[in-house]
Formats: sequence, C-alpha cells, structure tokens
Amino acid sequence: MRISEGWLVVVGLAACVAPLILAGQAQSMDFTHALEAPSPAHWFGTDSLGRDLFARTLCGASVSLGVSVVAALFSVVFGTALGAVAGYCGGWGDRLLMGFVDMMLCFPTFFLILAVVAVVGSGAFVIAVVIGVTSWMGTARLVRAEVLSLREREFVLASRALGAGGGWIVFRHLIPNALAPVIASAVLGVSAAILTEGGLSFLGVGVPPPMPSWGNILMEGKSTLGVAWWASFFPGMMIFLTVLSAHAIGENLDKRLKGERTDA
Amino acid sequence: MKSYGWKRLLGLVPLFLGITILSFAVIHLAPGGPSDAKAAFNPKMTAQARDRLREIYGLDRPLLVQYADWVRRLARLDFGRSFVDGRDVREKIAEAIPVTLLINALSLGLIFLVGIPLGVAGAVHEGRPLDRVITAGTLAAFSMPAFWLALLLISVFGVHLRALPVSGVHSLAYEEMTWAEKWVDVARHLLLPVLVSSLTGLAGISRFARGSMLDALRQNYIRTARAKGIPERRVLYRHALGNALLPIITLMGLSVPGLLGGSVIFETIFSIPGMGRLFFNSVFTRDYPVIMGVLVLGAFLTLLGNLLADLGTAAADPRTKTGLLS
Amino acid sequence: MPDPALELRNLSVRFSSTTAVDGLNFPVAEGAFTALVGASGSGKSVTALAVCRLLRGALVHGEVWYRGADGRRTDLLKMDESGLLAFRGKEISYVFQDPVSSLNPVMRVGEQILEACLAHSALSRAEANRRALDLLESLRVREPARVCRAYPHELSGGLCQRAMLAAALIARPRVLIADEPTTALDALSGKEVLDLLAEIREKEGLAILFITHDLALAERHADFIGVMDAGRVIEVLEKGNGFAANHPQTRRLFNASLSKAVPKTPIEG
Repeated sequence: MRISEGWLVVVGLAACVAPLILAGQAQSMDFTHALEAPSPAHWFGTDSLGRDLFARTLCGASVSLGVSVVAALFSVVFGTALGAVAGYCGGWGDRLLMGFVDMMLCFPTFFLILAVVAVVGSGAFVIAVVIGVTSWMGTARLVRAEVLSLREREFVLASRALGAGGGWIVFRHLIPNALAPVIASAVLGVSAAILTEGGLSFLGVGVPPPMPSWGNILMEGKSTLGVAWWASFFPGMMIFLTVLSAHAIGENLDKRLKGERTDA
Repeated sequence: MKSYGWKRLLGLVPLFLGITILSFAVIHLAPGGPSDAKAAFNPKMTAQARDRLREIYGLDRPLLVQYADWVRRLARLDFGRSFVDGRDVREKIAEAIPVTLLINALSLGLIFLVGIPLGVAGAVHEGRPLDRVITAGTLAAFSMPAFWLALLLISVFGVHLRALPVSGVHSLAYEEMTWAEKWVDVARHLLLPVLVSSLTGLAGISRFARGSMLDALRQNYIRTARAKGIPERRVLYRHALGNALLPIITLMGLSVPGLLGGSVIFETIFSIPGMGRLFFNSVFTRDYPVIMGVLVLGAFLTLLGNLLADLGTAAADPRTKTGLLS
Repeated sequence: MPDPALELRNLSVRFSSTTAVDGLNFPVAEGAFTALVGASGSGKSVTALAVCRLLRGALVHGEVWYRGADGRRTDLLKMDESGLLAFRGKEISYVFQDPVSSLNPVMRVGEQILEACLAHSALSRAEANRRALDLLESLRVREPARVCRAYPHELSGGLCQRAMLAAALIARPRVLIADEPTTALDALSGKEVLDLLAEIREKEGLAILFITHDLALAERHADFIGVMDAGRVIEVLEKGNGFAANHPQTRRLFNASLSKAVPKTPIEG
C-alpha cells in the first residue's frame, strides 16, 4: 500500500517536472549513439534514433498520465451527472438513461474508441475525451445505486420538506454523499485509461509521435525488439507498475468503504 | 424457463435499435458527415470517390431516411462494399470471424478452467500464504498491459528461444502436413495469442470468484451445513461453490466485449487474420462500411454473450426458474 | 436434576476486541427441555455455537463436557477436527433462527434433509429418504414428498423451519440445540414449531437446548431455564418450584416479556 502510493507520487512528480527539464533531451537525436544498452549515461538506453529513453519515458509519463487523468475526469463527471439524474428522477428518465448505459456496454469499448478515432482522427486530447466518453457507464450505475438508496433517507426528505428544489438536492445532498465510492472508481478509471491509451498509442492510433507517450515509445521499440529489449521493456514496465499501484490503491479504498458499510 | 427466455429476447429489441443508432451516429460524428471525414484524412480521396460515397450512403437525403435505409440493409446482413478493395463486407467479415471466435472461445475456456479454481482456492485458504500468492499474482496479471506482455513473450519465446512461432495461425508448409501435424502446428501458433488474450480476463474472473466464494462462505446455510457434520469438501464445493458460481456465470457473459476488443491488439501483434485486425486495418484506411459492419457485429456478439450468460444463470438458479414460470 | 448430557464449564468466548461469553457454567440435562434466556447481546447464541465450535475467528476457552449414550464423557473443546466432524449432526445438532437463509437456496430441501443421515449412518439413500419422509410426516408436514422436491424459496417460513428440524433430527442426535427457532416466524407458526419441539422431546427422549429472548415462551415447555446476562448464567430456574426468580435482572426480563408477565409486579409510569 505504502509502496503503491509512493510510486504514484514519484511518477506524478516526474510527469510534472520532466517536460520542463528533459523535453529537449527527449527529442534530440544522435545517430552515433543509436540503440545503446542501458548505461550510466543513458539509464534506459537509447532508441533507434539515438534518443535517450530515460528522458523520453519520463516525458511520456506526463503525456500518458495527463491523458488518463483527463479521461478519468470526463468519465467521472459524465457518469456522476447521468447516474445522479437517473437515480433522482426515476421513472421514464431513469429507464431511458439506464437503457443508454446498457447499450453503451454492448460495444466492445476498444472497437468503439477505434471507430470514433477513425472518424475524428487522433491526438492526445481527442484520445482523452474518447476514452472518457466510452468509460463512464460503471460510474453512472454506481452513482445511481447510491442515489437511489440515499434518496429516501431522512436528511433528503427533510430538505425536501423545507422546500428545496430538485437540483439543489441532487448537487448539495446526493452527489456529495455518493462521492466516496466514486473516488475509488475514479482511481480505477485512471488505471484503465492508462492501459487503453497505451494500447491505442501502441497500435499507432493514439498519441501521435514525436510527442512521447508510454504507448508510442513501446510501439517504436517493437521494431527493434530482437536487438534492443530495453526500448520496449522500460515503457511497458512503467505502465505495468503505475497501473498496478492504481489498482492496489483503488481496491484498498473500495475495501475500506465496504468495511465501513458493513460496520455501520 | 421459456417465458423468461422470450421476455429476455424481447428486451433485446430496443437495445439492438440503440446499437444501430449509436453506430450510425459515430460515423456521422465528423463535421459534414463521413464523406468529408474521409476526404480530410485521406488526401488521395478524389472528388469522384466522394460523390460515390455520397451516393452509396445517400448522404443528400435526410438523416432519418439514411438511417432507415441502412437498418433495412443491415437486417439482410448487407453491410455494403469495402472502400478499399470493393469486396462484399459480409464476405470479408465471414473470412475473418472464425479465427477470432476460435481464439476467444479458447480464451473463455482457459478463463473458466483456470480463473475460477484459482479464485476459489484463494477463498478457501483465505489469509494464508497460498491466498496471498494468488491475490498478488492475479492483481499483477490484471494490471499487465496485454500488448507489452505480448512483446515480452515474442521476445522470449520467438526471438531468443526460437521455441514458438509468433505470427499467423499456421506455418508456410501447412498444406503439406499430415492431419496431426496440422493440429500441432495451429496449436503452437495459437498458444501465445490465447495466453495473451485470456490473461486479463482470467485475473479478473479469479478475483471476482474469490470474492463471490468468500461471500457464499459467510452465509447462514454454510453454518447449517457445518453443523450437520458433513465433510468439509462437501461444504465448500457443493454448498458454497454452488452458490458462488451463479454470479460468475453472469460475469463470464460480460467479459465478451473485453475479449473482442482485446482481439484488436493481439491479432495485430501476432498477425492473425481475424476480426480485430480487419477492424484495425479498416480504421487505418477509413473503410467505413467494414468499420460499421464489425462494430454492429461486435455489439451483437456481446449481446449474444450476455443473453447466453443470463439464460445460463437462470437455468442454474432455481429461484429464477419458478419465479418466471408462474 | 438428571445427569447432564452437556455441561458447559467456565466457558469464555472472545472476539478480537469484545468478550461475548465470560466464564459461563451451565448444565443441559439428559432428555430434558432446557432453555437459555437472555436479552439480545447477552451471549446466548454465541454460547450455543461455541458448543460445537461453529464460531469462526473466536477464542474459546473452558470445557464443554458431553456425556454419550454409553456414559463416556468427552470435552468437545479438546476434540480434533475429524472427531468433531463425526460428532456434529450425529450427537448434537442445530436448528437456527432464520430458516430461509439457513437453507441452501440452490439445493433441494430433501437433499439437505438427507445430508446428515448419509454422512453419519450406513443407511442407503432410499432408506434415508424413507426416514426423511416419515420424519416430515411426524412434524405434521402435509405433503412431505413435495416439500422434499422443493427449493427453500418455494416454501413458507414455517415449512422451512420444519425441514430444518427434520435435517437436524434425521441422524437421531441426543441433543438438539435450537437457536431462536421461532423468532423469524409469525406468531402462529412459531408456536407450532415450539410445540413440535416439546413433542419430539417426549417421543425421542432427546435433550433440547432452546435459546430465546422471550422468558414467557421458554416457560411454556421448559424444565429448566438458564437466565443469561453479560456473558454469564446468572440464575437457573426450575419448573419444580414454579420458576421462582430471585435475581433482579431475571425479574426485569419477566417484566419485559410481551407474551405474559409472570410475577405480577406493577409497571410504573
């Protein structure tokens, strides 16, 4: 637990700082030092264009994490809003919105994302939005369930008795109270987004080079797989460790929340 | 049972309509409609080709008419012709789908046969070393980027050990092989792809199975069973597992879209001529008829998976059976 | 008092932070109807479960002496796992509070009734089946065959509780521990189940330990009543002298009873 939080802090800091310090180094090519194995000069080695992979991987952190956080944010805001409205309104609106959720869940997410990318093109921000727009369904269901159970509780009834309007109740009472499980799902959402972004960029339809992201560094490393293991090992390891940490934290949050529930 | 099945089928109609609307909407996301999008991304797109596209989709007509027309053709499984080679999309999909289904079916089998026992073993040994190893292992597997794992496996088994083939579904000399050799050849080719495609699902199911089993073990009827003095094996595998499996069956159905989506990645990496690679290539060439066709088909397969899982759960759970018969 | 079939000596049960049972002493007389009564949280259910070591994650200390048909005495808390397995259901069996959740929802009721019999006797399946049907009939179940084929959710709470009773009795145990078997049932079927318990005791001569929070209910059939408070038995009342109560907590329990308040002390206020 400590390790996973520590790792996320380190990677997060690297993501913030690296573009300021290492941006030039990440892009500068040096063909005399192409495909060098990891050494004190190049900790993660160099790629086929002689670029320093350590600098690229750290700069990639800011792109990959940036995209994932924005995606998770979209997904949480969208999912929370729809889930809260569905749960609070009930009736036809609820049925319609949940039908929409069911329908979205029918599409293999990766297919849907690729189809959208085919139409609107790729790019870091587009990818973030597309991932967000195709991954909010879980949060929506979660929030709806929370709101349904909170809706009839005393404090909401009291507020309504005092003449509070629907919007006020949803935003002042229901959403803040349903927030705890949403945070856990947001953390898990970030890790899922890292994987999706990595997959898309790896396939060459995500973040377009030369902007480095973990996925597209991996993609470039794929072509030199036989001669330079480091070119694909380190970016993959970063994805793996970061996703692992986020999963561990998200699950722990979830478990703690459930524990509190059963205690109560 | 029958009435439940019919009800469930009827519920699919609006869902399927929604799927077609959404697929249709995706293609019209581009400002100005699909013909402009294609022009923007494909400089080779001539004015003539654009006109042809407009004609095919009837893009001059109102959206609603276009949609109705498209759905009508869809009902006849007519997805149109590929922009790239002019072939019938139905034909292209029909060629690509068997290998994808085969790999997904094998993956589902592996997920079922390995994932569930792992999770159950973890729950039975809760808190003990075996459980910790399984929990840590499945968490790691769940966090593993499939594409990276594929690269590592290719690097180890294909490049360094030269022990396994890493591309395609059979060797060049496939035609000259005997029946048994063909089997071995295909099996060797499919080993790594199936491993990669099943890993995430396997880890997911195993974690879910552990939770489900632990849940079942906390129930009152387990205490009753223990109070009867029946063997612990029967308590675990007849009483607890019988209940724990029900939600797992449902989840198996829900894992279909993940598997299908994942097929894009592993089919591309392992050069397997399946639906995922077809879809990916179509995305690259903006071959909209194929994209639409595969998108709708993927959603349809997902629906089918969910339906089968639901019916399976309903058949296995005595509570739904009587409740919906009467 | 006849010889105890079961004797709890200095029994303590601790969970991680709380002590549920604290040095309890209590005998369960051979062939008698014994009740253990206490307010909720007094530790009576925990005591019942501790007898056959059915508590998970609890520290149990003390002695639980069981006297077999041959007069041999064994301490259940020192018994090994396999001995315990052969013991549960065969010598001591249980009926629990909520019959619906205490039955496995995905197994036929008949199968669940047979289990203990198949595990503890050499009877064939057909013979066990016969015994189950007879048993259900003696528990005044109208269509025993239909009940056996049914799943728990298809039966009423009262029928489920009778099925639980049949499952507990089928291996002919010498002690039956009934943990609030009537609480989850409506008043009428609760009373029926309780009367059945008394009837079975007469017929089979087994000892019954009846756990309840309702003193008046216990009084109906019990020969002895142990009154529990804060993890101890504070007083044992006997039918022989009209359940005369001395302890103030016992009087409070009598007064709180909804069915009938026995020592007619006026309620203030």
